[in-house]
Amino acid sequence: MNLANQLKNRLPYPFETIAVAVTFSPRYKAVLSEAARISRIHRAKLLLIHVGALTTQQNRKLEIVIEACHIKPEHYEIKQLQGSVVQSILKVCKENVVDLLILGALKKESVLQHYVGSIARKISRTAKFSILLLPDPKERPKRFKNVVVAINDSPKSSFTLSTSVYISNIENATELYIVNEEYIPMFESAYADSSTDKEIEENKKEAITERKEKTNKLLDEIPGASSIDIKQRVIFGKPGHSIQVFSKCKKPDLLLVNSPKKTLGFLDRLFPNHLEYLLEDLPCNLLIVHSRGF
Amino acid sequence: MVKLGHYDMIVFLVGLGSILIIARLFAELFKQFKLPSVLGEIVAGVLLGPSFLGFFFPECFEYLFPFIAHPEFTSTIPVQYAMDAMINISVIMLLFIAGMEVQLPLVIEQGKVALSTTFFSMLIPIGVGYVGVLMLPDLFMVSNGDVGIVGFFIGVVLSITALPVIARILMDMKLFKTRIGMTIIASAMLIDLLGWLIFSVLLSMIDDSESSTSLSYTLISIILFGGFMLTIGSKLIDKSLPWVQTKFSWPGGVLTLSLGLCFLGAAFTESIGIHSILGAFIVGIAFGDSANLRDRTREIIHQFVTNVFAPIFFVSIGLYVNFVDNFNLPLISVLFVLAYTSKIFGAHLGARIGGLSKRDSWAVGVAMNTHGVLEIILGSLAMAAGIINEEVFVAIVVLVVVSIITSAPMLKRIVRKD
Repeated sequence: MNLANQLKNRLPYPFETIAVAVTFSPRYKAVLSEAARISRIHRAKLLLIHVGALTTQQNRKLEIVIEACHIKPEHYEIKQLQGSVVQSILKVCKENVVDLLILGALKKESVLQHYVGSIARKISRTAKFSILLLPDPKERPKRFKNVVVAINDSPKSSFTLSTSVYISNIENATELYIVNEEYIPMFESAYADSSTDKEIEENKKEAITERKEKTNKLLDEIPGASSIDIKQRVIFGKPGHSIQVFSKCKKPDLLLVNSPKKTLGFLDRLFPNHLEYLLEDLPCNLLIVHSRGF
Repeated sequence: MVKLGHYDMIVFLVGLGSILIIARLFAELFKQFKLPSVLGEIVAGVLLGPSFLGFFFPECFEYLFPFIAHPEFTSTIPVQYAMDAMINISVIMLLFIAGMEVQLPLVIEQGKVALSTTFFSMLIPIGVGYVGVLMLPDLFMVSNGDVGIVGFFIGVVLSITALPVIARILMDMKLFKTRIGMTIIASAMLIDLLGWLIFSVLLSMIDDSESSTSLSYTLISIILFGGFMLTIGSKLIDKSLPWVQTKFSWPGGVLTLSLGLCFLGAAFTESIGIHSILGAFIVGIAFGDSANLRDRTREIIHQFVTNVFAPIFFVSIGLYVNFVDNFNLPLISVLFVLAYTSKIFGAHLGARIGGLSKRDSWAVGVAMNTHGVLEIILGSLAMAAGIINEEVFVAIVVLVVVSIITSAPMLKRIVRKD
C-alpha cells in the first residue's frame, strides 16, 4: 500500500510515531525530555532525527540523555541523515509516516530571520504532518494542563478540535478553551453608513451565537468531549493575530491551530498568513494540526 | 494671508450645513428602503442642484449656493476655492477608507480563483469599453485623438466592483463566508487596487502631454511608492499602532495619525506627478492591513468619513452637474449593455476557469457587476481632467445607481434557483 493510501481518511491522531530533531543545541536535553514524555503518554514510537554524522562523543551524550529520559530501547530509533536539514527531516518524517514532529523553536525571531526563515519555522510552513513547536522546553516537563484550541471557518477546524479533545483527555487537562476566531473583513465599511450601533451589535451577537452553535454541534460528535471542562469564546479580529493576542494574555500550556491550506512562501510572510502571526512570536507551545486529506 | 470674508464665510457655512443636513435626511429615507446611503446623498444633490432647485426655485438656489449659481462672479471665487478644497479632501478621505478595505492577505489566500476572476472581469470590460468607444465615438462625444484614452477609461469604469455595497449584500444574504463570497470580495479588492493604478497612470498620461514628466517616470514612481508602502510602510504602521493606541488618547490619537498619513501620502503622490488619490488609497491599504488596528478604530474612521465627508462629495455631484440637461438616454442604454454584458460574462468566465461551478460562477458574475462610489469618484476626476463630458458622467452615475438597485435581486434569483 502506498503512503497516500495509508494516510487516506486517517485522523491527525493517535500519535503512533513521534519524531524529534536532535540538534545538540543548549536546549536539546529539554526538547528530548519533552518528546520522551509526550511519546510515553501517547505510547508512540520515538524517532530521534539527527542531520549530519554523529561523532562518538555526541553518540555518548545522546545515550546519556536517552537514559535520563527513561526511554526504553524498543521505543526509540535514531535516524541519521546527510544533506539539507529541512529536506532531510521532512524526508524521514514522510518515509516513516510520522504523526507528530517535535521541534525546539525560538520564541521570537529577528526581523531578518523571520523573512529568511529558521529551520523550525521552515518545516512548519511546509510539513504535511502535525508539528509541535516548543519555545520553552523544560528538562523536567510538565503535562499540558491548560489547552487552547483556535478554530475558524476552515473545514480543517473539526479535525483540530477533535485533536484538542483527544490531547486534553490524554494529558488529563484541567481546561480546554475553544476559541472561535471570527473575522469579517469589510464589516465596518459595509455597515458604517447605514446602521445604528444597536444593529451592528445585534449582527455581532448573531455571529457569536451561530459560531457557538456550530461548535456545540461539532463537540456532540467528538468522543470524549463530555469528560473535559470546556470553555468557549468567540473573538473578533484577524485569524492568527487575534489568537496570538489571546494566548499571550491567557498563557496556556498548549495552543492548537489548523495547519495552513498550502505551503507558505515568502509572499505569505510579506502579507501575513494566519500562521505567520504565531510563528513571528510564539505565545506558548504551539501544535499545528495537519488534517490529512485536506 | 488671504481669508474668507464675513459674507463668504456665511455663504460657505450655509452651503455646507444645507448639504450635510439634506444628505443625512435622504440617506435615512433611502435606508428605510434598504438602499445604501450614498444613493440618498446623490439624489439629495440632484434635488438641491440646478436639475431641480435651480430650475423650479432659482432664487432659493442662488441664495443657498451663489458660488454655483454664478461661478462667473468674482465675489464668489473665494467660496468656490473653499468648497473645491472641501470636495478634494472628501475624495482623498474616501479613497483612504476605500484602501483600508483592501486586504491583500485575503486576496493571496483565495489564490487562483480570485486571480482568474480578477483577470477576466477586468480584461473583458476594459476590452469591451475600449471597442465600444472606438465604434461609437460620437455617442461618447470624443474627438479622434482621445478615443484611446476615453475607451480605456470607460473600460476601467466598467471593470470596477463596488466593494462595500457587495459586501453588505453578501452579508445580508449569508453568503459572505462562502467560497462565492470570498471569491467576490478578494477579486473586488484586487480590482480596486489595479483599477486605481491604471486610472492614475491614465491621468498622468493626460498630464504628461502638458508637462515634461514621462510615462516611465510615473510608472517607476508608482511601483516604488506602492512597493514601499505595502511592505516596509505597512510593517512600520503595524508595529507602531499598538503603541499609538495605548499611549495616545483614543480614538483621537489614531484618528489624527491615520488622516495625517493619508494626507502626507496624497501630497507625496501629487508631488511626483501622480494624482493625490493614489497616495491616499495606498496609505489606506497599508493602514487597513494592520492586524493591530482595533475594530472600533476602523469603525470610527469609517463613520467619520462616510457620514461627514462622503456626503459633501456625493451631494456636490448633483450640485455642479445638471442631470436633466445631460441625461442622454441612448448613451445610458449603450453603457448599460456594455457594463452588464461585459462584467457579468467576464467575472463568470474568470470564476469558471478558477474552478467554481457553473451556477456559482454566474452568481460571481452578477455580484461583481455592482458598481458604486469609486466609479463616481473616477468619473468626477475624469470629468475634471477633461477625459469625459457631463453627459458621460451622468450616464456613469445612473449606471451606478441602477446596478446597486438591481444586483441584490439578481443575485438572490440565481442563488435561490439552487
